[in-house]
Amino acid sequence: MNKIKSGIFGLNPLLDGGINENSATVVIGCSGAGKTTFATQFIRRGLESGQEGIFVSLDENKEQIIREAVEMGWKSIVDYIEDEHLVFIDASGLEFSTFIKKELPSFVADWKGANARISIDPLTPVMWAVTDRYEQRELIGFMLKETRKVGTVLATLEEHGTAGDLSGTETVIPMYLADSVIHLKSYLDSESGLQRKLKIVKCRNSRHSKMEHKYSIMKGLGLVVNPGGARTPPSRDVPTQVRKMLEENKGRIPSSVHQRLLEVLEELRDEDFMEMSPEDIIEEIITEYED
Amino acid sequence: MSRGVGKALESALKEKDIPEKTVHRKGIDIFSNRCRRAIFSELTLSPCMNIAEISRRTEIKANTAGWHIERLIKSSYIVERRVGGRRIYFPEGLVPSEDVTLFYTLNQFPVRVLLSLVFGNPGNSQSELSEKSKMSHQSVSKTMIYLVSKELISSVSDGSHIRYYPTKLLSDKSENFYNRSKRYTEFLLKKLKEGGGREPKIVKKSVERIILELGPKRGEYTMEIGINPYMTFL
Repeated sequence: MNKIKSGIFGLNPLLDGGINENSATVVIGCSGAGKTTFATQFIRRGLESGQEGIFVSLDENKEQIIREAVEMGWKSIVDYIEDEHLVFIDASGLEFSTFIKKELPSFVADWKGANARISIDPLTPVMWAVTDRYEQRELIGFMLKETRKVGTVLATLEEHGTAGDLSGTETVIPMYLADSVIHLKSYLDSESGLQRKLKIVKCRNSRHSKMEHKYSIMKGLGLVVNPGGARTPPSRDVPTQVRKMLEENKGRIPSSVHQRLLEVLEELRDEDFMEMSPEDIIEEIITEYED
Repeated sequence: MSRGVGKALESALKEKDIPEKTVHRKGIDIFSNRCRRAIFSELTLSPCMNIAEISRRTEIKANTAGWHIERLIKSSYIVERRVGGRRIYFPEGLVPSEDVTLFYTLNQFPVRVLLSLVFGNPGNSQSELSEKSKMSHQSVSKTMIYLVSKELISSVSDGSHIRYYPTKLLSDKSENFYNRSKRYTEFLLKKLKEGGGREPKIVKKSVERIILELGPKRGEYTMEIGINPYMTFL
């Protein structure tokens, strides 16, 4: 899995190195949580690496997003637009959903492998363009599947209702279908004031952080996440010990299994073994294969 | 890296004709026409055909078929999609997005004929298939290579001949389609009911199709609906 940088300072270590290339990420948050800023930073980072950027705006207009990007310290956004490396598209939810149903396959056939970064902000109006939940799932699933072929997709999603409750249909459907889900929690605490916390709900094929991480929105920098202990190199004492013990017990398990386990151990860390000791693990492996 | 994808997307969205608000015509009215019933029925059984193929199978002139298809699209009973530059049609809610191209392929003449022969006579060689289908060796060879690449059939060499066998791809897809068949039936009945008039009634049901009784007076006309299009090709 190839990783690309998210463009958010402090987020990449939490995502096991960055966002999966040619994947679909959904960023969920309430109003003011920083979703559009997140989407803008994601596009900006791609442009800095020579990728094309497409910003599909289904809510705020192009001028407003550009103005806010400039206020956030991204003055060169105008140059990228003039050079057509960055394209802003204003569309309504109905227009975009009709495009998905009728035109997207032929569009993707023409532009497959273009390796662009695509932000859809927000995805919510596309969901609302169809009322039937089954159709919603079909539409979003199809859109994510197809657009992934053109590049790496990041869609924002409005969080309605109770803060932190992601069980509503409008959030559940895209969450199931996306490869990665990032939740931006922003709420007022009676004692400590405005609190912002980021949680990675899922990130396929990645060893992502399961914790909540504080983040802030800084003028000139955008979203900045405090990765906390996520930067600490992981400990691999247990797999190293298990590997050594496997070699000592080589004759007691089939050679093909022995080889496979050695390869698997290369990827594991202490945390994967929970509270099990190397002796416990070796005993379980031998018991499984010994008659 | 190919450039210009952003501008292309912008153009695609701008140039697209935004349809007037979806017209939900009365379900009973839309199928009061014999041609529309025939077209819709045929598309539920063999989705993802173009107008020429629909016209051939229903024996309705292409222009007339096109007009009825337009009405079925406006009523949200069928949807249009472009595959390989051709406009194809299938019932809304029935075909999984990822299999639109598969159904389009299955409806192509050489594929349909040769696949049917392989399913009917597993183990046939290329020569036998060529003889039975009355197609040239070259056409058979080309189609069989394509079908093998799509995992619809497998080839086994017995030393002197390459023999072809059906894979489980279509039967697996068909088996996994049960829940969707059920959902599509519910969706269609609800949609027809919302059109007003008498409630449509299922008069016959199997795993692959249902027969509906429709019309202002019950039993005025019936319509056969495919609810598992994979089974059509097995």
